[in-house]
Amino acid sequence: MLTLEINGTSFDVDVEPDTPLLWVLRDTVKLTGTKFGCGVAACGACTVHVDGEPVRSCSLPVSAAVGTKITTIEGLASGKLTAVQQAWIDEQVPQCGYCQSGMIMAVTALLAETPDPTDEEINDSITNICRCGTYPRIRKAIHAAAKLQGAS
Amino acid sequence: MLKTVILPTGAAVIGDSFWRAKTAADKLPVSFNMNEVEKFSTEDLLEKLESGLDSEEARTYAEDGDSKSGLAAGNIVEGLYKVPFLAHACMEPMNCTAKVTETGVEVWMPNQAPTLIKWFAEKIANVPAENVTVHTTLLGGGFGRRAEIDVLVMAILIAKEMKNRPVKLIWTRENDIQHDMYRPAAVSRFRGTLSDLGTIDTWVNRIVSQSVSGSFTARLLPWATMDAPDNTTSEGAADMAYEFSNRLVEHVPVKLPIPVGFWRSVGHSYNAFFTESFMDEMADAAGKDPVEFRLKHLGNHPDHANVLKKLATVSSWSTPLATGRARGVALHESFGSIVGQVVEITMTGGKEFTVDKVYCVIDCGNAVNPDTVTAEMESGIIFGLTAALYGEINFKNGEVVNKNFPDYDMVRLANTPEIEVHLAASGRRLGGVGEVGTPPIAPALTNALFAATGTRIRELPVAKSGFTA
Repeated sequence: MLTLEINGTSFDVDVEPDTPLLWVLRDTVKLTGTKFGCGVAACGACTVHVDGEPVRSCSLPVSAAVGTKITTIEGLASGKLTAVQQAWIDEQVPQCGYCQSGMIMAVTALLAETPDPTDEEINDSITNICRCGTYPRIRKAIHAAAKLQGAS
Repeated sequence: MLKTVILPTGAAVIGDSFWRAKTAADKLPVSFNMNEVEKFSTEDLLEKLESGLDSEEARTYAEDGDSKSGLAAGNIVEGLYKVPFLAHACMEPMNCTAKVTETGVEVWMPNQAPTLIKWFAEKIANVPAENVTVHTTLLGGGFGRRAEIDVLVMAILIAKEMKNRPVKLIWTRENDIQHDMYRPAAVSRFRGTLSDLGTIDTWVNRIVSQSVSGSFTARLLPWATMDAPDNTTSEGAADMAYEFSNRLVEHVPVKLPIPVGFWRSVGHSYNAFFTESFMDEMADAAGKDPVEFRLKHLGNHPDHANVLKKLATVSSWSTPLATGRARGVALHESFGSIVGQVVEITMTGGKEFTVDKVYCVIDCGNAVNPDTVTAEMESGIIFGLTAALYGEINFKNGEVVNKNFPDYDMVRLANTPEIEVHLAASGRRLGGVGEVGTPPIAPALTNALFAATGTRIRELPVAKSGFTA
């Protein structure tokens, strides 16, 4: 039995220690906002925060997440939407939506570290795949979220 | 682990979590009888396609004037083009949940064909039609892949072994890339002549590929399969707006052991690259500006001409770009909408380049929700750009070589161009927007590369010619 802290709540999970965190979140804890895309940390659909850092949860053994604070898309907003979530709606970013929780987690982590990123910093940091091609709106929404965050 | 199920096409493990099931499935001592597998490679498949270029079995899809005399009378410009197989690679790997009982079946599945799904659920579960329930869920990308029934059939066969319990089948990304119904590879040969006025007199085009409709029908309705003509094979080539005195567009259907399917814009996905590249070759042969040259062939097609003129205006087509920069144009009608695109690139050293900006003009008749039309253009452009830059499924010893995103790469934020979409709704009959942004981007890009380097790229992806973005 392993104990995980996810979105501020403690969970005891009966899983093999090498199980990727993604599948513990989805199958055991039933937090299905985090998505499976590739299983090899290449697409970022499974991005969550581990102690505030963006992590591709499909490739992190759950044992490595014990003792950390894990945040998933479900735990991002408390009461009202975050600046990133609001910007995503304002810019009408999602199409199919499948990659977007991973995108939002990656962008949230970027803005926590770099509150007003340049396009180059965005390019270097946000390497997630969106098959619908929402990238132009993602870029706009990142700049919009930076402004919203700065204003609040 | 709860159970192992042997299927006609593989083996599945049922567990209480995906990871446990997958880990067990990886350890199954499964061996496939490879003696029955044809040990073909990409080269063998392309060779078969190219042999179709001189086949006697061509079907005619468009014929005007007298092409034979036309070719005999002029200097022939010739071009041979190729595109590879492509996977859909929807973000959500293939999946389906099924619950089979003694009397019925219930299915939860993201899909593009609920009627087909319901029908096949009934057949595979072998239950009365009134006891079939299909829940069509939100879908993480379709692009044609979710009109297929392969995953449904597997899920029900597995669920039959675990009656009264819902069983969720999830494919890995490797399963998805290696077991798709691919966009068919195709080759296309052009022969054209110019009139004394510097316009196209004769246009002869022969396309060779598998038939998507034939392959789809053979999978779904094997008893109804026949070698019928398939308009999707020549769509975008046989029905081009350009006006020529003599025109002959033919398609040669070739049978290959690869399942092929509907991929965003279907036949247009390759015919736009073929035809709009060769239009550029003819413009070059005539010594004319690519936009001016195209307009000369649209005298009776004012909607197409308007899109092209607006595109030339918004992209400042006639204003020269700085050294090292270039632009290319393509115009293509599909699914009732006319789309023109101009791509601006910068050569950054040798064969390396950046795609800086895409101007896109669309006439879809009426834009009911303009922002959705714009979003679909952005989406279609990036989807087509991924294919033009990297897209290529290869085969070796009868197996797919590609496995996952690291070897079936995608455009990402860093190499997404700026995209400027202009709506030019003319009030003509409503057209589609979901697929129509994809066809023009590849030829607009390769025409830009020609303008920049003088190298005519006749094969996709451009990486095959050493060009990288």
